[in-house]
Amino acid sequence: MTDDRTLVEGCLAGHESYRCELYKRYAGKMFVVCKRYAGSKQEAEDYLQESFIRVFEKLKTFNHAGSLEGWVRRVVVTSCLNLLRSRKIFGDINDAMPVQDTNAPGVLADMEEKELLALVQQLPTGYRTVFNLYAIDGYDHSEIATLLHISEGTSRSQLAKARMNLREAIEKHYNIKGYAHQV
Amino acid sequence: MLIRYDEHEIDKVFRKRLRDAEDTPPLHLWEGVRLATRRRRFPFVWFFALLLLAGAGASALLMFNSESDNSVTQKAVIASSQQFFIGGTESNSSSEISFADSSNMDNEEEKNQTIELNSSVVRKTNSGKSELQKRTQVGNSIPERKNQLGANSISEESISLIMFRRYAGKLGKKFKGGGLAHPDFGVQKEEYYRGKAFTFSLSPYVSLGKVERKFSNDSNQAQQKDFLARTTTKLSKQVGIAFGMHHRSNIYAQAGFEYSDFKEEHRWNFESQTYLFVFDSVGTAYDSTIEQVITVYDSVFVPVPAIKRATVYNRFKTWSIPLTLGWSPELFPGFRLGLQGGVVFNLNKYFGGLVATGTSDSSNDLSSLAPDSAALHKLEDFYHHWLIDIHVAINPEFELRENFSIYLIAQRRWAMEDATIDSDIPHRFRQTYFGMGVRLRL
Repeated sequence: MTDDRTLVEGCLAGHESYRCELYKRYAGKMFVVCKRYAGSKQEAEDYLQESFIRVFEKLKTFNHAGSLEGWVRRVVVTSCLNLLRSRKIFGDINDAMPVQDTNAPGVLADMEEKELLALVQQLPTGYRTVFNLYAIDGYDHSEIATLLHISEGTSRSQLAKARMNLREAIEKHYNIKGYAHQV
Repeated sequence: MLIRYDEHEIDKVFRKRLRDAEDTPPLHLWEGVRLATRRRRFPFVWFFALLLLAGAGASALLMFNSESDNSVTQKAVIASSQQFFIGGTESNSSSEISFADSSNMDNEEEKNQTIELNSSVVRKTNSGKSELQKRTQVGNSIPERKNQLGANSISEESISLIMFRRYAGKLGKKFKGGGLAHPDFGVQKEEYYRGKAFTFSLSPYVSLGKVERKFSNDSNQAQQKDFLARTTTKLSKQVGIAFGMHHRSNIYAQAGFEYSDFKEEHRWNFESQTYLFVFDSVGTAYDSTIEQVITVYDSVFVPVPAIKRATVYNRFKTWSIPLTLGWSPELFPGFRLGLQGGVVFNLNKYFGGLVATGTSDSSNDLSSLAPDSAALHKLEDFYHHWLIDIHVAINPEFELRENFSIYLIAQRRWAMEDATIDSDIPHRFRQTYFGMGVRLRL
């Protein structure tokens, strides 16, 4: 496998084979990232395409300080946020009311990846975005506030609501499953 | 970015299972990325520069080959051209050739030489054109060819019919904005005046067209994600005049003035519509479905949850100043490659009545949309904005018969308007046109 430095330099030199390799190496993971932020598979495809165009545009700014995958992931996440913002879907992130946190049921570990992804995708856009940024991609509330132009309180509130929404969805999901097993 | 996670169970599980999860994206996505990034690395301007270079090389090669013929043949070519064009008739047999104007010949000897050469050079081909004509056309634009005839001014009329299809958005991605069918019928008159180095042309023209646009659900031009819109220009009328300077090298520059008049009808079908965007408008319309006349006014999104279909009529006039620089070498007999770029300054003025009609599922009472008629604007002050349009185009033309040709157009257009109907913010957009047409010279 080509190392990161060679891969980046090959891409910057305009070699299509290297660009193709970079895409193939990360497209699978980044597709799931896009699916997490997008509301549908169709949107996720658009996001992935836009994001990789952005990756190749920005590649000259990659300074090899961290891993290439981490850098690609940040570009993809930022692109997704920009695309979401361009569709003006952050209008619903304006609730800074504190919400009591909730504990997750232990059944989560048994769920398949597709099921978990579907749970994330069914969240309202604001909840989904904050949950993705905080819980999965590791941004803290101050970073999220800056990225989404909201207050930290709103970010916390949205996260708590997202968790509660997920818990309810999981419970509903398992109730239906259990009922189906009994039948 | 600091990686920080709390110990929340939900977060941990989702992070563990989804952060590094993979799924294979559809294959066509890479193709889109590849084309889009390649376009950025290899922009249009270089593509055109290469084409220009290739065209120049081919022209130079052909012209060099042509010049290698003996000078007597060149004289024969010129003399025979006089016969073919100034005489106004063509003959199928070299034995019928007679000079309508031989005053340019220096002496009787040259004249005899020319006649001898004509008998070997002039012969019809299957395409209806003589070898002689083909030779005279190589490397020459139409006005320059006429330069060789010795006339100071020449007039030519042509009619054309062209069908465009338009795409909006980025190349290499899914085209957005919907397609556009654009048949256009034009009549043009061209007057050529021969100068020393340049031939000047004056070309008044008239064209009539029809435009149809469809906005799909994912169109970013639609006002709302989940509606389908169709815009039809009932009839577009354009009149204009172009002044051109054509150099012998086939480089030309044109400046003109054009006036267009469009009448449009926008039909919107809403699936789960919540807002209807209307802008400053005045007028009334009768909708037979609901048996009601309504008027819409002001620049707002009007909440009309009950309306499933709406129609808006408007009319706009455009005054344009197109400036064009191009190169139109005839690379091979009967094949001319046109390359051009230009900028067009447009003043668009919307006026007339904009009328919304609709049908309602739950209520026929749409009168709440009607404005206070006392506040209506004057029609001529209705709305106007500037639009600047830069374009590059490739325009190959195949001359199948002496007076009949087909041509193709591929045009990329970048436009910026100082404001849009719904916003004061300057708006930029890109479009690509592909067209095919026929031209008949009368």
